[in-house]
This record gives sequence, C-alpha cells and structure tokens, in this order.
Amino acid sequence: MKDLVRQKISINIDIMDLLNEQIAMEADASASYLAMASWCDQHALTHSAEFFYDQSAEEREHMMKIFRFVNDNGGAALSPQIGKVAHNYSSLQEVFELALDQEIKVTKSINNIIQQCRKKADFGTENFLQWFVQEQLEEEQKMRRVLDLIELMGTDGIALRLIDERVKEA
Amino acid sequence: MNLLCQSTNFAAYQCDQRRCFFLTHGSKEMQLSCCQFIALRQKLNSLDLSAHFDGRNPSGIEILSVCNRAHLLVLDTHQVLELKNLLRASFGFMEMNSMV
Ligand SMILES: [Fe+2]
Ligand SMILES: [Fe+2]
Repeated sequence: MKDLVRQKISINIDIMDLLNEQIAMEADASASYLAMASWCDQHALTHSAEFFYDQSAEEREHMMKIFRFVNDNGGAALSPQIGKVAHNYSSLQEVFELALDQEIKVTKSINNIIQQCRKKADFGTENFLQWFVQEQLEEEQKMRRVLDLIELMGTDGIALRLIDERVKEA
Repeated sequence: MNLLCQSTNFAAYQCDQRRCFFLTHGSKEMQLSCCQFIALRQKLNSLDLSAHFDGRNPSGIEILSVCNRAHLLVLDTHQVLELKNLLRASFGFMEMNSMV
C-alpha cells in the first residue's frame, strides 16, 4: 500500500493537531496582551501599554510562523477561534503576573509538543520548534524582570511611574 | 483498493492507483483527495459533542460538508462517534503501514 498521507504531508498527523492547538494558543495570547495594553493605556501607563502592544504583535507573529509551517509542509492549518478575554485587572502587578503565567503555559505546551515529536520521530517539527524554546525563555525573563522591579520598588506614588518608565527597557 | 477500516455504517478505502480515498456510507460512495480526507478528520475532531447532551444541540444532529461541499453528511451522535473512530483507526492503520 502506498503511503499517500506521508507523501502529502511531512508533519506527523497527530503533531499537526498539536500545532493547530498551539496556533490557537498564540492567538489567545495575542488577544489577551491587547486587553492588557488597553488597561495600561486607560491607567496612563504609557510605556507598559506600548510594551503589551508589542507583545501582542509578537504573539501574532508566532501564530503565523506555526500557521505557515503547517501549510508549507502539506498540512492544514486552522484559523483559530478566540475565546473570552479578561479586561479587568486590579493592578499593574497583577497584569504582569498574568502575563508571566501565560508565558509559562505556552512554554509547557511547546515542551509537550517537542516531547510528542520525539515519540513520533517527527524531527523536522522538533527542529522547527527549537526557535520557540529559546523565545519562551526570553519572554518569561522579560515578565520576570518587571515583576522583580515591582517587588523591589513597590507601586505606591511615584514608584509606579518609575516602573512604567523602566518597562521600556524590559 | 485497500480497506483501511470498516464499521457498521461506514468504510474507508485507499486507492493507490488513483491516489485517493473512498468513504462509503451505506450505498453512498464519496471519493476524497488526501487533503479532503485530512480535512474530514479535522472537522470530526473539532465537533463539540458535549453540546449534544447539555441542551445546546438538542437534536444531536451534525451536518458535515465533505469534499468542498460536493457531499453532505447528516449524522446523529452515534454516527459521529462511529465515523470519528473510523477515521482515527484509518490514520492509525496508515501510520503503522508507513513504519514497515
Ligand atoms: Fe508566543
Ligand atoms: Fe509570548
């Protein structure tokens, strides 16, 4: 029997499902960073807002990177549905904590796909995902740096403004 | 023609010569390209079956278009599960076949 599916698509079919889930996850992340940007803007935290606008755009780039990888290799990428996005936060600290949690969730998900790639001997996809492993380390680091700063300086009075200034360099 | 999997109401075949798949549902026969076969698998997997039980889809009927809308499948809950299993088994069989 010919291997028609393999001739058509270079990615393992179960891995393709996971990549489609990852596409949806990146889209969700992009949407929730947009909500965070909006909250920061409303609270006159201009630099933090700018930071989250950039993050949102980056997540969309991640999504497109995976989307194209799936299609370029003969698979079928699915345009994701975006779930409900939270818009209410109690503080800048909460915003960055949620952002870090979200990045950790993404890291775990990427690691899980790589684990499955090894099981299925899909080394092409594993290789593709290595870029994301590095990227996730950097993204977690970014959020953590701001949280460290908040812990160090507090957010009372002028401190909040100073932190917002410093987010520029994060 | 290679039989991939057969169940009560459905059967899936691969035709090496024509490089395509066939899905039969009773007397109905549908020819699918590789892409269309993969798309059908995705469509089935993305169905929200819990909606059949919590009142959001009280009829429990799903209408699936196959092969860029050349065919329509009207399926009840059991048939959706049956077809889902059939496709899972078919792709599993093909994966096994590719390892030997
Ligand atoms: Fe991302
Ligand atoms: Fe990220």
